[in-house]
Amino acid sequence: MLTLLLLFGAAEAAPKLTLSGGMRTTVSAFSEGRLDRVGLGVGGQSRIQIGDRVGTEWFLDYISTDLEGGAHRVDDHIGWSVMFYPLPTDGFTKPVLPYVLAGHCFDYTVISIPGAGHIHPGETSPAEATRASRLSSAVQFGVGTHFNLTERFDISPTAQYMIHLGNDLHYDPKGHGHAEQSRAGALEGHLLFNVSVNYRFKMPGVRS
Amino acid sequence: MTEFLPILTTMATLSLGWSNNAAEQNLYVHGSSDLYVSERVSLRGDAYWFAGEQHQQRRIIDNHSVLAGAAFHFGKGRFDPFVAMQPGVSFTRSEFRVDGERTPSNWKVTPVASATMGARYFVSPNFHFFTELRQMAGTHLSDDPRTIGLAETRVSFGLGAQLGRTGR
Repeated sequence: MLTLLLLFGAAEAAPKLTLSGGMRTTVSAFSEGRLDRVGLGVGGQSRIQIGDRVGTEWFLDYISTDLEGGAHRVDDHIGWSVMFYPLPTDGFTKPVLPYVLAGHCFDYTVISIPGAGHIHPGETSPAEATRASRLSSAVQFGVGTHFNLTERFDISPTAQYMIHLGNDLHYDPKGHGHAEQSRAGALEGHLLFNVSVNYRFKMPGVRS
Repeated sequence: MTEFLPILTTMATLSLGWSNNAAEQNLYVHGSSDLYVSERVSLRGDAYWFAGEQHQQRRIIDNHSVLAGAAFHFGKGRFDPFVAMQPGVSFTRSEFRVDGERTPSNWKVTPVASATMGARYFVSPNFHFFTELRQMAGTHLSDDPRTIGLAETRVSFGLGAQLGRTGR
């Protein structure tokens, strides 16, 4: 899909390279397939526009999620996406500019159970915190829209689904609860809603 | 009428925060800077230092924030209303009881989101008055299983300084 987006974009491309940077807020939903596991994250991205219809986005995210009041999950993402614009961008002068995106990222996920300091019924000492982690890669795809408030400044909401291609990592709330990482593969994912603010920089020698 | 076109604005003040999750009021030392990259857009950074709260049974003992993003400005001339969106992180610690003793949690880096609306009035080439209202969102994941919501409404106002130029 990435190749198709790049080829389709390159066919439409005009040699017009631009660079933008911005910050974003991310809401992560459906972690481990559960509706009640919603996290909040902070991140940033830079975009390199390589043609009239195609751009790339390079991003970092740091997301923390409360798992039913019993465990905490932290996701770190670093990755990139190809953005394809179905409509001509016209130098980003249009107030609304939709796009589709698909890409790849590396991620590091930690699930920890905060037990330190809590004396569970029937025990005499505080529980130990337990922890499980996973380093894996992921693919993501989604849709978004630029709201171009000026030629150089936009607000962009995006919805994308990210599928982690790695070992199974999950939190089991039964009993005192435990976090577990197993060798079994799993296609676990989450839905990411981003809202970003972006500023397009002037590139020396390039018409904006 | 002379109008002031700022390039860089900065301010420091005390900020009040009202928690959306509990009857708590918090006090912050608040600093902010805007770099105007055009008449309508500024790149903005804020820092909040948690100075204390007005509550006996405190839950959060530290909540210092660093925020970065951009602001969009609607005004013309001396009056400069704006909205801003700034994600960021808060450095947070809570307090919980172990054997009846109050124990601070470890420091946590907590992602936070914020949206701001406010206005400035440029009274001279180098000074302005400002007021702004900020909504924060985030969740402190402590060493304790309880999570603590950081949703809060913050108000700041005062006198700021700017570098810029004048126009007509």
